[in-house]
Order: sequence, then structure tokens, then C-alpha cells
Amino acid sequence: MTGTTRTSRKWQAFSVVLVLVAAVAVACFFAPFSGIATPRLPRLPYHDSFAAHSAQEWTPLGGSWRIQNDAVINWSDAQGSKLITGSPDWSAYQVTSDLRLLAHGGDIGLIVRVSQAEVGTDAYKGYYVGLRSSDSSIVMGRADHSWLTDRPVSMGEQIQSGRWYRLHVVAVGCTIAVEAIDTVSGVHGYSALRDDPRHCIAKGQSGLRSTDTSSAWKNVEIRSATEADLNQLLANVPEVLHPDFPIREDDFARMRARYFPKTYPFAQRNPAIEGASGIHPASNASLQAIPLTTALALRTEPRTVQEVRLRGVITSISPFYIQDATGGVQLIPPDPGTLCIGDEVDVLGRLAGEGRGLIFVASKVEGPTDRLPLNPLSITPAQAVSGAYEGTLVELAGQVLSTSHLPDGATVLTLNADSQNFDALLQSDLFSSSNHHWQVGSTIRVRGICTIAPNQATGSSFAILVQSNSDVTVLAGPSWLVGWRLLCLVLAGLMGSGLAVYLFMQFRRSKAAAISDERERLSHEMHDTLAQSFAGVSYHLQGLRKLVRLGEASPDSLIGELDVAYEMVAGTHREASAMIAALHPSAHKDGDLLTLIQRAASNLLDKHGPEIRAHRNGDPRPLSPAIADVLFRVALEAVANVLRHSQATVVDLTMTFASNEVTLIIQDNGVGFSLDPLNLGFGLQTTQKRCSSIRARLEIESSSGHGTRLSVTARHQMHGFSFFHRFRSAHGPNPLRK
Amino acid sequence: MRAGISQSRTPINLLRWALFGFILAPLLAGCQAGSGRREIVAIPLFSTENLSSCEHVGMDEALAGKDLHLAWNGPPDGNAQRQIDLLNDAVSKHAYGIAINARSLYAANGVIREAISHQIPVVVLLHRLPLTPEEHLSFVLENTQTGAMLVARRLKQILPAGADVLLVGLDSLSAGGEDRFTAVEQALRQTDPAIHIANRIAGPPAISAFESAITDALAQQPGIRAIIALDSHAGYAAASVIHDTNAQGRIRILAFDQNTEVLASLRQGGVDSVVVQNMREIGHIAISNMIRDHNHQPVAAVTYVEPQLVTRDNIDTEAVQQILLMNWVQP
Repeated sequence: MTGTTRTSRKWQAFSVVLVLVAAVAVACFFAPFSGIATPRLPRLPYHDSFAAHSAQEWTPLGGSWRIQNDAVINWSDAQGSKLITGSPDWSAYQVTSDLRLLAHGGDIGLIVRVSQAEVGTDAYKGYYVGLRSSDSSIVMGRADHSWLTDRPVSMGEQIQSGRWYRLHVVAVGCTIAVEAIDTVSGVHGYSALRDDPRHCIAKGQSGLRSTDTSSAWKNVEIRSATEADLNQLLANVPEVLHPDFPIREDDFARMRARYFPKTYPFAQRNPAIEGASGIHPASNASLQAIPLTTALALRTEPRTVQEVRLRGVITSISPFYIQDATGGVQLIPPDPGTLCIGDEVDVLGRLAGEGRGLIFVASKVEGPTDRLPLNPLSITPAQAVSGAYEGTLVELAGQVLSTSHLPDGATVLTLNADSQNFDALLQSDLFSSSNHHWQVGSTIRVRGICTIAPNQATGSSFAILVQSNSDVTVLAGPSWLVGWRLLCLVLAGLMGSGLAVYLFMQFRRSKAAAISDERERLSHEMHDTLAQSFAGVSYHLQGLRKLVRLGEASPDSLIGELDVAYEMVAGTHREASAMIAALHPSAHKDGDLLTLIQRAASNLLDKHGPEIRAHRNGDPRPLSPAIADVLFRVALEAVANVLRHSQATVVDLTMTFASNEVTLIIQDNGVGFSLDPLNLGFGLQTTQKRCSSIRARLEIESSSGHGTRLSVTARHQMHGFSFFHRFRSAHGPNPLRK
Repeated sequence: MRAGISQSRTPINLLRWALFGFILAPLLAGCQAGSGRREIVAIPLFSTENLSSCEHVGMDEALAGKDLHLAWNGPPDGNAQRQIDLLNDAVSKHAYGIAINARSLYAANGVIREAISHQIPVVVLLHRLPLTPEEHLSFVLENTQTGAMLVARRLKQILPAGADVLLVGLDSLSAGGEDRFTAVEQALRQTDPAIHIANRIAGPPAISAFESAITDALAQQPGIRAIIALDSHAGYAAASVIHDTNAQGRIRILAFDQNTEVLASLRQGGVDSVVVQNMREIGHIAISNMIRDHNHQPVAAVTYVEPQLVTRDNIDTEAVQQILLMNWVQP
């Protein structure tokens, strides 16, 4: 191995390492801003891990989610709260889950074939299958950031709050079928939807969804499904129809009139349902007679021995807070399991505690009269620390100073804004997917209950009691130019500089190699043509001199020999002229390539030389200079060989333009030769080398007595960097393939 | 005999592709960041109401056959902050255009200005905001005066002379709140000065709060013969109170803006009439404005779209049903 080759290999290895390190540095730099940290995708079959108090593979979109008693619970009345899992490529699968309404009203169910999901009521694409309490029906439909509801199917009994139901949904092809089972009464309900095959949603994730109610799911199981699974459910469906999606207002009106005329738009309250939930329905007779007080009055006015009535919306369930137009206060309800965020209720009770520890202990709860979570008030840290918003649902932004975890699993985010430190206490930390951006230095916005809670350890003066991961929004990631990211930048810069220097050096090397190549080629050509011709002339003149000195030459023979010498010199002159013409930069600009080749070939021949015939096929296309140059030189070399060796009478030059390549064929009717691919002559080696420099295909066919055919096929234009072609040609010829 | 030249696979190929990757990676990252350039972000006031569904239909119609994607999402509860978050997302991904039916008169204006500064066409729908139309900012609004006049004429038609009415609805900080209050009062003065506005209840769109306030007002002023609900939530609350108190026929409800519950109550006789906004047309014009903006064609700074009064007599007419179309085509 030569020293040059060793150096070249080292450079190659170095450059590859350089590029890889730079790529890693760049990937490193951009990693925090990409979606690399996504939740773990479960594989089929899947069974939830709620019993192990884990929901890491789920992504919450709205709602307030907790795990209690092996079930995941959404403690919010928010519309369209979703919990999503699975692969976007899931297609034929079935989902089974136990589910339970925790309040009256609203609906609860499963979503399948889900994509494009985000926070919002119908902000997803997929199918929803659920149980609706208002008309005790199984409801199915399709969402695509709007909602298309199919005909509801009666469950056959009252859907009750607090009771576990089992939903089994099978999605195969464009058919979605469902079986609903009341786990107490054993009543079954079935429904199916066969969507239009042209538009049906073919694949997507799976999830849990509720609207206008708090709700619980457990034993969520997802596994692949077959036609047999689908048919098993369809056997219980009287008729599987295409969905009857209403598209006009009068369609909706007809659907309402047919399916729930007594419940829409204003349903009569059903004591059977509400009694089961543990909350007493609002009535004019019971609490209404007691004077209403406000949260502000509870704090500012003297306490009375009588119980007072407070009407407000539940803003937190752990701990409970209730809020009215004047503020909020912590609440201890008589039955904690029946209230959820968004319930507007009347509570009867007394105050307990003092100052910041003020608590309203309720003896009775009536309602809810509405189910829409309150919007938080946007406040500043200065307002929060003033105490004016104690117990109130607020939102404020800050930069994360630190994160820590309490022994009970709660997460503490210490934030800073406007020179105030404060803590955001997140009760549950179920979902790794939504908190991976809560990095130190990030700017986040938190929503929750504001309470004064000095913390000497963190220097915080107040705390925000955050209900759910969904209540934390990342506004901006950590600053770019810090720590390791700065290191990455410097590293990438160094790598980039090194790469630039390397490329510059390689360019210089390839340029020098190209010049050396051209010199070598010229020397070969001069050796093959001019040098040999002159040597021939020299030998001839020496012979003539010898004849004259020996006195053996007659005047006639002398004249004959001088004519031969003259022809040899003239031939050499023509050859030299053709070479000079071919080398001149303007040679390729005067006409099309075939004409140039024909003209130059004619210059090589004398009047007794073979006939040159040119043929053109196809539409001429512009050729890159490098390709035109190679074709020109190869053609001249071939014609020169014909002249020297073939004794041909006709040479055909054929240039064929195909859609993406050009072929030049030089064919003669001479004596031919026996081609040995392993032992090519110097001229053919040069031709081969030229062809490889433009990645052209060279084919030579010849045999004794049958002439020679040389074909070169190349693309119209060079692809890739010419630097690499020059570089490649400077690093040795390509092997010849038999 | 035949011979051919083959191409070698040297380590240089590896270098070549690695170099390509190194150069292209940032470019691809840039392409990813610019993926929102063919996406129109529509932010309705209440994502699930009939008002918004009709707007969605109009936008879908305008986008038919065009290489543009509609990202439709809004807060279910009219949360202004959620609207601002969605606006911020649209700006950060450099959306093709933004159409917003703003909840708050002021809250979203900063982000709208930022969008305009990024040359993103913004179309404000239904209610005006205190922003001056400029390049990349246009308004497609209800004709408030027409709507108010329709209500005033209807009241004159159905109420006895000198009847008391209750005005319920949007507060002054809600987009369109002040305009509708003022327009209705002026229209009543012009049409029938004898009609007396007995009370005004304004507030954010909390149905239960409206219900309580309406119940109290009706108890204190039993002479009230009509409720003018200035938005769909107030309309629902009024209809709910009238339903609960069995006051249909005695107290008439005239509501602004359609939603499915109010229209259902109209069909059942709880609501007398609804000023229906032609959101389908508004959505269609909004998309057209964005496309014209991108094509450097002139865009009308403000376009007013006429509302229509819908009663039980005309709700089933084809003209009204076309305005109320809730889904463009079967999916």
C-alpha cells in the first residue's frame, strides 16, 4: 500500500467520524424540541395498569384524571375529556372496558380509530361509542373535529349513575359494533354502525372519553379483532345500517322527536337517577328558603350559629373547593364521592377553621344545576400573594426553578415570576407523556386553586393546587444558550469548521489530481500518436540516408521514398492539428457534437482513408460539458485506431438520444481484433478510464475479420457533485467486468 | 466478445450520504416547522354549537378542491385563554390563515396583531373587535342593525302596546356585547317607543347565572312580556326558565344566534323567534378572504352579512334550512 493511499484512507475514516459526530451534535441540539419523548406505545393485546397505579402509556386531553380503586377516574364535567393510548396504525381491534357514570347526565364511552386528537369537545378524528344517561341509550357516531351522531339505540333500561357497565367495541373494516352490559341487572344492549367504505376511518388509536360528567373506567383491554369477533356481536344486532348522520337542522329535529322527545331540550329531572348519585336534586322547597351567602361574606362577615347556604361551582376535588362570583373556599362535603369539577351546587353548612385555613363544612348538597367547569382568572404573582384570590381558581405563568416529588406521589414544581417564587402542587403524576417538557428553565402556565402557603425550603410564598396534568401548559422550553446545549453548539461549530477545512483540502487535492490526470492523458496521446509518427518518420529518413550513403538509391526510388516521408510528416501534422483543435475550449461550441466528431475525424484521415458516415437518432438533448468532452475524445481515439489498425473502408458514427441517456457507436468494417478484457491496450485503457469518469457504460465488440463496434452510453447530465466524480476518477480506475 | 464498465462502491459513497444528511437535516427541520403553511386555523367561539357548525360548513365548501387543510378547534366553554392558546399555536406554525370568532373584546388582540406581523391573514368573524382593518386583517361581521331591527319589528307585531321587555345577554367585555345592546335599544326606540325595557341582565355566558337572574327578574317584575336574549346561552337560559315556570305563551322569547337547543325550543313553542346568523356565508367569505390575500388580490376590509329572523312559520323552508346546514356532505 502506498503512502498516498494510506493517507487517503485515514482522511476518509476521519471525515466519516467527523460527519457522524456533527450529526449527533445536531440531533442532540434539536432533541428537546422534537416529539422524541412520547408515551410508550402498548402492543396488542393490551391490558391497563390502573391496578398498579400506572397510566404511563396514556395521554390525557382535557379532564382531571386520577386512579382510585383500580380504576381511572375523570373528576371533571369538562366536555370531551379524553385519555388516549395505542398505536396510530391499529386497524382491526376490539376494546373492552368497565365504565361507570359518577354523576347524573352526560355520557361516557370509548373511542376507536382515533387520530389528530387534541383538547376540545370533538377535537379528534375517530368513532365514539358510549352510554348516554339522558335517554338511556347507546350512542355511536363519528367525529372529525365536528360530531355526526348516528341513531341512538335504547339500552332497554335506565342507565344509572354509580353502576358499572361493560362496553365491548369491535372495529373491523368499516363496521363498528358494540355490546353494552349492565353488570348488575345483566341487561344487554347492542348496536352497530357500518360506515361508507369510501370515507371510513381505517385506523387509529383507542381511548376513553366522557362529556358533562365525571366517570370511571377499569379493566381496559384491547386486542386484535377478526371478522368472527365482529360477526359474533352483529348476530345480536337486528339490522346493520349505514349511519343516518343528520346534516340539516330538520334532520336533527326529526331525530330528537323520534328518539328522545321527552328529554330534549329540557328534561324533567329523574329522582331515581339523582338519588343514586347521592346528590339531592335542587328544589325550591328545601334549601331555597335559607338565605344565600357568598364566599366573600364567609370571610368578612361575623359567623352565625345557623347554617348558611352557599351556591357555587366545584373547582377542585382534592381537596374540594367551591367558588362563586366573589371567590372560593375549601369545602368538606358530606359525601365526597359524588361531586366533580364543574358541578354547580347549593351547599348548606357552617364555617370551620381560621384565616387561611377557613373551611366550609357542608351538611347537605343540592344540585347540580349546571355542569360546566369555571374558567380560571388570570392573575399576577403579586395578586396571588395578596391573599385576595385565596381559594379561587386562577392561572398564572412562571419559569420552572425545580421539580420534586413528594412521598405520596405528588409533584411539586417551584416556579418564579415577577421575582416571586411559588409552588405548583400536582396531586397525581400519572402521565409521563405530558410532563416530560416540565424542565428546569421552561416557562409554563398552571391552572389551579390559589392558596397562601409559605414554603421556606423553596422560598415560595403561595401555592397553586393543580388538579391534573392537563392544567399545566408549557409556554416555552428552556433557554437555548445554556449548559450542554451551548456545548452542543460549540461542538457542532467545531465539527462544521473541520468539515469545511476537509472539503477545501479535498477540493485542492482533486484539482491537482485532475491536472495530473490530464497531463498523463496528454502524454499518453502524444506517445501514441505524435511520438510514434515522428519515430516512424525518423526511421524512414534514417533508411533513406543509409541508401543514399551506400549509393544504392536511384533518383526514382529516392523520390518515392521522399514522397512516403512527406506523407508521413503530413499525416502527423494532421493528427497534431486534430488534437490541438480538440483541446481548444471553443471546440464544442461551434456545432453539435456529432458534427464536431465527424469534422475532427475527417481531419485525421487522408484522401485515401475510410469514408466517415454520421447518423443521428432521436431528438438531440443538451449534454453536460464533461460528457460531451468524453464522448468527443473517445470517438477520436476510436477513429485513430481504425485508421492505424483496421484497414476499414467505412466508419459509421451513430449518436442516439434516448429519454435520459445518449449512446455513441463507432463501427467499422475493418479486420477487427481479438479482445482480451484482462489485457487491454494502452489506448483502450485510456478510453475505459474516460468513460468511468462520467459513469458511462462502455461496450466493445470485435472479432477477427468482422470489424469493430465500440459503444458508449451515458446520461445526458452528470448527477451529484462533480467534485465526487473528479475525486473518484482521481482514485484509480474501475475494474473491468466480463 | 463483450466488455462493460461497472461502478465501484467505495467508502466515498458513505461520506457522500453522510454529508448530504448533515446538510439536509437543518433544511428538513425547517420544512417541518413550515408544515402549517397549508393549514387554515379556525377558532370558533363554542366549538360544538350550531352557530359554529354552520361556519364549519361554509369553510369546508370554500375549501373544496383546494390544497388546504382546515384545523378546526375551539373551546367548548368560550374560554378566552384557550382561544389565545390556539391563536398562538397557529402563529407559531405559521398557518395559511386564521379565522376567529373571538370571545373577548380585548384578550386576543395582541396575538392577532402578532399574526398580522407574520403576514398571516386573519379574518375576524361575527363580532367586531377594536382593531382597525389593515393588510392581512379583515372582518366578516353580522349586520347588527338589521338583527336588532328584525327583533324590534317582531316585538311590535306580537306584543301589546307599552309592554315590558327584559334584555339578557352578552356583557360589555364580550365581543359584540355592547353593539347588540345598543343596536337593540335604538331599534326599539325607532320602531315602537312605547315598548319599555324593564331590566337589563349582562354577564359572561354562564347559563345557570342567567337562569337565576332571569328567574329573579321575572319574580320582581311580573309585567315582563318578552325576553330578548342577546346570545345563544342567554336564549337557552330564558327558554329553560320559561319551560320550568310554564310561562310559554305568556312571555315571548326572541333570541339572537342559533343553537340546537334554542331551535328545538322554537319548534316546541318555547322560543318565539331566533335571529339566525348566516354563519355558512360568513365562513365561506372568511376562507375566500384568506385565499385572495395570498393571491395579492384586494380583500374587503369589512363585509357585513345579513341575519334572518326565523320563526316556527319559516324554519322548515329550504332557504332557512340551507343557512342552518350543519354538515356539508355525508362523510
